[in-house]
Amino acid sequence: MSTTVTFEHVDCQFEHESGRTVKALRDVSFTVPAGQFVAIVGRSGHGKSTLLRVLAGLQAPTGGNVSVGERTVEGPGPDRSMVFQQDAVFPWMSVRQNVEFGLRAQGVPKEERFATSSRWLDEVQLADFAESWPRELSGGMRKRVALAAVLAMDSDVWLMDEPFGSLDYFTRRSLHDLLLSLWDETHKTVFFVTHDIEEALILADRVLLVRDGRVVQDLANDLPRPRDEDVRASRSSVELTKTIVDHLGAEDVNPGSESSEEA
Amino acid sequence: MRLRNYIRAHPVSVAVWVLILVGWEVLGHITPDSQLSTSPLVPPWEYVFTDAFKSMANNWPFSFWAPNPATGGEVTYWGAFLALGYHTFQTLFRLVLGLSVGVILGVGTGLAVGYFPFLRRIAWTPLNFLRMLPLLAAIPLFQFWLGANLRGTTVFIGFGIWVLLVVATINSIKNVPDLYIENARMLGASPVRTYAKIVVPAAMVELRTALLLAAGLSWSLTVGAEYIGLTSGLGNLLAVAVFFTNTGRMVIIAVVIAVLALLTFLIVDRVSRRIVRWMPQLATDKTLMRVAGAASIGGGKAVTIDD
Repeated sequence: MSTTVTFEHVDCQFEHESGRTVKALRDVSFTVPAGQFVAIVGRSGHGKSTLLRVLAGLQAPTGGNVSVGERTVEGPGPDRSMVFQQDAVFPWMSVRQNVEFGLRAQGVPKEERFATSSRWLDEVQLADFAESWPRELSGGMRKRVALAAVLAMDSDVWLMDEPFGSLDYFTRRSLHDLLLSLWDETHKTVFFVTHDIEEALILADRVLLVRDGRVVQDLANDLPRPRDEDVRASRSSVELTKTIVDHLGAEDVNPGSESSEEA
Repeated sequence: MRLRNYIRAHPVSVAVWVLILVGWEVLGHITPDSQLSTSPLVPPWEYVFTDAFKSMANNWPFSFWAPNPATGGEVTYWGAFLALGYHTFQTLFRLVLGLSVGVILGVGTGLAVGYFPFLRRIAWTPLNFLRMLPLLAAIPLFQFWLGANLRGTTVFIGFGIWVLLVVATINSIKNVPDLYIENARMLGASPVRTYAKIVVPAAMVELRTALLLAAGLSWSLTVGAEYIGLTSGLGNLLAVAVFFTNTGRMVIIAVVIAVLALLTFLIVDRVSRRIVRWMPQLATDKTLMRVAGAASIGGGKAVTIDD
């Protein structure tokens, strides 16, 4: 079974509310082999979320082809599941119902659903909260519910759209550890969108840099795992960070260009 | 002891109530009597709770349990109490019936129409036109078509609530965040499952506010229908009191309606709270009271419409 993800000359443009046509993706091509952890890094508004949404099937490309394994992506499918940036856990369902929602939609029988949800709730350390409402949980715990729901689906490809962006540093770090251990266990293909370079370097094998709708650089991240503070302070880590900052257009943040925008 | 604690905890509201009651009494004694009216222009409390209340016995329509003044019987406090109870029961019966019919059909229609974007677009303009109709002005028309009876009244109240809730339900459905729908799609849910398990529950948050407005509106509609064409109920009692310019009775009926409307509101609040008990933060009592105010003043028109 092959779960290679392929983008071939993918374009995506849509009408902005102002009537302006936005070219969110321009001629994007890459291939990701099964089991790879890919970070998609870029500044806000440069197309990294669109890239993920096109792969999810939530947004149709206006040109090119996206395929997962042998199949062309034409909409959401059971081979991909997604953790959203915002809190997308359904607040009117208990934690367990949330985790079982996808299984229920697929017609999985009750006992099996229960076993699967129990297993993954255990894995994300929420077994004691199975019958709680999401409102009784912290933001980090709700992200773990979303993770458990994705895990229960057993999809080949995990799509993560800045999933931990709204969490505090320590919660984020513990979720990184959790995500990496789950990835280690399941060896799924992961697409992780983030604007946080450090996060990308901690998690990914490979970093795709997105700027103005194009993949401008495809970097391998060979830092040894586990990537603790020492590894991240190492010379190669700093070099990688510099390369990324250079490619993502650090010149735009200098005061000169800012004042010219104002004028 | 509890009263003293209450006064200590809420000195301002207690002071306001005392001021209103005392001010009213003072006003009652300084306004001149009118030659044309059988009761004082501003009825002082001792008049409201004695003569005015007692005269309600004239509205007791039966000859059992209490003497019927219409057939020469005595006017008694007991008769007045029975009369008030009888007409209150009539009003409540009509209100609960009309409100139930309106809520069931209104939310039902809204959910059915809301599922199909095409139907939603077709229904939108006529529905908003119906919402603009002055409902109270349509009472005679309804009574002319269907009769000044329980059927006509139920259809009228039901219609008013129906219009409010169809629009509100469709609106709530449109306002469900795309995020939930996309998440459901990613988890493999079919359109029907997504609608039933995601869109409808998510819409309940906004719909709850509309239900509270409907509770307020149902009182306007019921009392209005009774005032204009029916021969029983609190609205009819009010019409009779107006006919005899009995200000004391008007005050009693107004207070009874206000208290019952508030109770209706609290019951709908309690019941609808159960439906959305999963919500992170329910509106505080303060904001609820503001909604209650809008419902009774604006007759339910406070819901914003946008497309």
